[in-house]
Amino acid sequence: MNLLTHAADFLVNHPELWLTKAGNQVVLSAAALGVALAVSLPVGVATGHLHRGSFLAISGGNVARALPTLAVIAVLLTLVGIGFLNIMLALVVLAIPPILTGVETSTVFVIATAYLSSVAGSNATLGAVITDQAEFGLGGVLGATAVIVVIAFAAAGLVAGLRRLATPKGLRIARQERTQMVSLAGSRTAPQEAAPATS
Amino acid sequence: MTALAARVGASGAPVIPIIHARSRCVTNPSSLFCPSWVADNWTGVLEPKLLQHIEMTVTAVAIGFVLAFAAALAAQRVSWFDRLFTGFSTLLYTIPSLALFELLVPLTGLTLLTIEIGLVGYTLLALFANILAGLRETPPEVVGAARGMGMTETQILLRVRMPVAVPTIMAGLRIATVITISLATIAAYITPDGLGQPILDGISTGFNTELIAAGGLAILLALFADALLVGLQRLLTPWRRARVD
Repeated sequence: MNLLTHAADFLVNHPELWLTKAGNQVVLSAAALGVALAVSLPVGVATGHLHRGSFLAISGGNVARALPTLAVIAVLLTLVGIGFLNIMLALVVLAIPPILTGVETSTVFVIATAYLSSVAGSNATLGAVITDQAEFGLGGVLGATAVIVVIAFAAAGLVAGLRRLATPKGLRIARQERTQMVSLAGSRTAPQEAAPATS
Repeated sequence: MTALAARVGASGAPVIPIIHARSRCVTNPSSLFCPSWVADNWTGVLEPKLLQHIEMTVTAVAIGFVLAFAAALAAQRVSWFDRLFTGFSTLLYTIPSLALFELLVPLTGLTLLTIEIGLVGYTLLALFANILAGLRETPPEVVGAARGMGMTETQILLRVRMPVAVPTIMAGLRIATVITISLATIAAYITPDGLGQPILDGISTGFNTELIAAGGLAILLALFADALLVGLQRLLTPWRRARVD
């Protein structure tokens, strides 16, 4: 396929470009996820521990989940202007709701959406390639996409690994048995995603 | 020019979207929000874009639902199909939306078809996972009892599994709908349809009123659609309400 060779050419010919932008995309995503975690963890722990305010937290999460990212960026443009802070806030809004249920889904979607930084006026991420097809061609778009997909899967794997490390041994065995049951009964991500609205 | 365009817009005549009226607001473009522009451009710009946005979303979610439902039924019978389809839809989920649209353009052109294929792709993960989880929620002994009562497999699906699955399926439908409304704004990079068009126009011109009006409309649409689906779920599962009360 011609397109595949173009994508390979892009990756071979501009390594410093896509490596830098991919690095920035990771930093931006990690920062947004970090802020989102810092905001939602205390809320989650408090509501879970005090058994109070969970309705408010879940409704708030549902409202935040519904916000279209480009629309949030647009409204933020009028409030904070263009640049890093804009895309950062938009990604935090995107990251918070799924964190209350599953960090992996959240991580993957934030990484895939971070390219919109170019729309918010910061060309630091791979969005610079994706939103500028005239400059880098479709091969560049495919190459940048491949990089983002690899980062997303690696990050999801990392989060899953961290979760396993952070789980105490006894709980891990119990959870393994449960996961096996769940994976027999359905995909593991499914009940997590369903959780906010069903509860 | 702009004054003329504003008058045309106000009289309700069609206005060419990209160079539509900025009316009095253009004299002070740094002002945060100018209600008169919204009034002048409601019928010419905002309303048609909103309707296009709704149409795009409903089409994508409906097609995605049919595909995901068929896939979930298949996954119930063939065990490896679950992993295959989950892997496929997760892969789609990691692809940046604009990149997916751009990569589809050589195949399907700068058309709404391109947009719909992409949007349907992003609905699949949430819909498939939740439909399958919902269908599997019915305990095996309940299915056994239904079979013992002489129900056929189709009757068990429609009368036992489906009602039990409604809340989980609706949760997936809500996620898929708000994701689609969000990603449909990106579609404006490919075709000048939906609320993304005035948003991108506002970004390129730095016109705050248009950004707030179009962005705000997209946000309100997502919240309204989500609330509508919650209401629908309540209507479909009256027994759950009775139990909570």
